[in-house]
Amino acid sequence: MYQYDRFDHQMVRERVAQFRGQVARRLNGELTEDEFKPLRLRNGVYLQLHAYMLRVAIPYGLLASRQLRKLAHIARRYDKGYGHFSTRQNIQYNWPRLDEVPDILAELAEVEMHTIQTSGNCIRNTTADHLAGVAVDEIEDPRPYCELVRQWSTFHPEFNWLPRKFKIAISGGAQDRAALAYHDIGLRLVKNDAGEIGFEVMVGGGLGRTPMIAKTIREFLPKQHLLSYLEAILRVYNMLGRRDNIFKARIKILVHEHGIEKIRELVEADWEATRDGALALRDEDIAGFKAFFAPPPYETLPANDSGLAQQLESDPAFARWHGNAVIAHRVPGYAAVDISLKTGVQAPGDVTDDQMDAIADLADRYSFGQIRVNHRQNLLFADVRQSDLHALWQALVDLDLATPNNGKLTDIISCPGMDFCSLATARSIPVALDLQRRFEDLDHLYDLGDLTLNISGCINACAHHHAGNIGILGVNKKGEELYQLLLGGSSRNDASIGAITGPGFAPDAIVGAVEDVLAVYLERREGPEETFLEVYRRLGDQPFKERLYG
Amino acid sequence: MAHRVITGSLLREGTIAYLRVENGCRRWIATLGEATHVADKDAAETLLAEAIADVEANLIVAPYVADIRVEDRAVDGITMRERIRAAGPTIPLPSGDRRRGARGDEERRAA
Repeated sequence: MYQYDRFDHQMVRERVAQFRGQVARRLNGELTEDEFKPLRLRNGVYLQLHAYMLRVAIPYGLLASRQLRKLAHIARRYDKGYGHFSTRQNIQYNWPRLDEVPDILAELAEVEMHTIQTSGNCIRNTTADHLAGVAVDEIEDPRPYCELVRQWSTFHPEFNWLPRKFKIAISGGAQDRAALAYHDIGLRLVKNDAGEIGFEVMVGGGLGRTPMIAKTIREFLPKQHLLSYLEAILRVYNMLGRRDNIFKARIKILVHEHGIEKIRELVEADWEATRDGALALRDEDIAGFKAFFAPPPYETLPANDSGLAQQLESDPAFARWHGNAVIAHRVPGYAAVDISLKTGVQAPGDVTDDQMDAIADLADRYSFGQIRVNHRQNLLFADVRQSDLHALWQALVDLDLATPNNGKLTDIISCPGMDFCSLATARSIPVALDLQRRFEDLDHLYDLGDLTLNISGCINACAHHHAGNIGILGVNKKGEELYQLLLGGSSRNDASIGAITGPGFAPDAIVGAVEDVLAVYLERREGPEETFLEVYRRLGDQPFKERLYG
Repeated sequence: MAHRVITGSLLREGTIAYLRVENGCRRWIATLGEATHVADKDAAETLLAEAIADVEANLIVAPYVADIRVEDRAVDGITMRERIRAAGPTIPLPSGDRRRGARGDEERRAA
């Protein structure tokens, strides 16, 4: 993984010192809250419903074990003993004191971490496919390009005060596992007819109150022009993006209002003038970044471990977990392992300090000391020997982290909702926990097949409710919670925006409504292989509405 | 019966606080039930104006008037948001409601 050089270390240390001074000036009254707020936000500090919240960047979701231990230590020493992994592959602490945040930042800097680009109207932390480098369908590892984008975007003077926040995701797989279509810019590594690898560039995706699927602005961008093309898009957005209305300030609105053809024309014109300038990447530049993400020292192993076959046969519980949580790997004898943070006991994405420490130890033992965070709020070990899977599973069982629900209904994305968030209009976590309890029977869960369910506690859609096969949106009606149901969303290659079924449901009725929807699915599917989304697309929403509303 | 209190967040800690006025002295406390509450809207605005002094004294952030319900001497927020602010998250925290501070690492090492 990327290692800081002396410039990175100096930059982060100076940032910590700068924020320490800003906090001191806020506490002694030299800065008012209005003056301080944009400064704290630039350092990932929000003031939420019960306390401050600190968001720590995990660039493209990649963590070293020593970094995870530091996150555990911060949870233990400065917070309430846990952290919350977000859909942006970051971690959030819900209870830090403002006067201790500078110390937290100093501790993060010790392990090459920070909170830069986790808030504010700048280019945010770039996200990536969590299977980067190991996926069997991968064209090329996206992580070197994520790091290039990170270095280009951090403190970029021209793009430090954009009309609104700006999110970039990169994927190198044939299947989109990074929700590219819902980002301001989505970059998909593709191969052209000549066999060259470059990027399909998508622009103008997003969720929130105006969900939109990104449009392709360029079918094929040679890799050496990645940064110059991004800069051209950002420059057009910075010039034309609406600063008069926060609800219309994202680039998706610009693309919608002007049309992709006009935006393409403007971007290409800007790019033509700058494409061969200082931002043009040389092969040796790219090679240098690739070196940071060189494969770990894999052993030469048989494609199928014989001991594993015996364990699968003799241990049904292990076999069930293996069938769900273990993901094929491009290197023979290895596998990737999903570590579900959807236990039904803790909020989706929550993990305790002790669990973090234990996971770090397991990563050292079984996965070359690295952990990944995916955008569905789970963790992943990317490089586990097949022969170690049984031992790893046993260790995860002991940690209550072996729930085999990867990609199933109870693998719920949930925002913190009104239990924590000052913007939320309804709670999300209790609904997620109720659903997880209702569908805890694994036979029933597996019978429902692959299915995504996302719950947001307000229209800002931090939990991507429009992109879930089933989405739930909590709203406020006269001071009380109401839950709207959306069906038909997807964040993958076949991205689609879920449609609201009709009037919302009371808190005590929303789980039953989901059950009704799933009953229709089970009755109308043509076989177990037909997924919920396929049935919805085949039948439309009418049968579901009839069941829900009579 | 609908009443009103003044609430905000403590600057240093970020935690929720309610205004209590006693013998002309202002205090910011953590418990809604012990907050000073008034029925009259104008009285609430007067309290809020007094609270601004504590903004300027760097004690409190973003104070506002919150509607509450008082029934049989029990006090609670009228909206779900205010009820959650008063009582805390409606779900158990993963590690319990603890803050171990610097001792936490020592405890872990000892364990």
